[in-house]
Amino acid sequence: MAFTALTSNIPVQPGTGGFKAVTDGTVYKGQGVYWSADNTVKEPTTSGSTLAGIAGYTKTTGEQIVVYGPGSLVRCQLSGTITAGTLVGLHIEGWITPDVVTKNAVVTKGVATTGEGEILILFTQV
Amino acid sequence: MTWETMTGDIIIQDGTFAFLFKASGTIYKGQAVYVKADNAVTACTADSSECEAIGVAIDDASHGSQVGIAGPGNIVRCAGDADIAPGTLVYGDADGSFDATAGNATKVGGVVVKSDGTVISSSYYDTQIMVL
Repeated sequence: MAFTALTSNIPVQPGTGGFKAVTDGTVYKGQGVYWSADNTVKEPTTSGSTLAGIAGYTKTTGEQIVVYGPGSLVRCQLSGTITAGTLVGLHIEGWITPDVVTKNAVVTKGVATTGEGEILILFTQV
Repeated sequence: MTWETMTGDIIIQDGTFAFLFKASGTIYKGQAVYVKADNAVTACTADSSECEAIGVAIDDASHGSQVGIAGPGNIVRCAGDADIAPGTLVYGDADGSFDATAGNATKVGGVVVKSDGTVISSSYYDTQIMVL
């Protein structure tokens, strides 16, 4: 399913500041991204990437972007029915889900159906 | 074992800003907490899914009130269930303590920075960890 950019502010409680990176391809606000190259983040096209953080803005390829990473409590797009307390990770297209091997975030506000939720991004992975 | 109140500041070095959550049940200063419901935390227990510690309570809080939680990136005081050596990974456990054994936890709660062997209560030790 195609990713839908969020309209709300991404940080809910910014435990840490956002960091800057360059985008590889278009990245949408609220999308989960991974490190794809030097100082570069990208939307994952396969499952299994480690979540670097959640994009603060929508940017096209080669532009600078703010990413909220470990230590921040942020909004994102949760895929499926997910309850608070569930450990989650990065899935294809930047969705956040428990159905991945590498998990490095915990849901702090869940969803009954796919849509906007909130996660705390962790420094370690499960 | 039962929890006994910790005195003194919980935060040793604040690497990140603390988070605000709603307390689900009474939470005591220094206890490890897990996400119980939307925007709500509870003191960890040894039970499955209740030992996935996300941080340590900065103050006491009664049910339904707001509580500050020192989350990932902070060095804080907490209760270790033993005199745990620095560098050891620890996990949320009974009474909101931390334990070197994962037990039912799948998530690492932190890494021990200091444990000076000071006993808080019957069996808990004043321990400093970096929350992970």
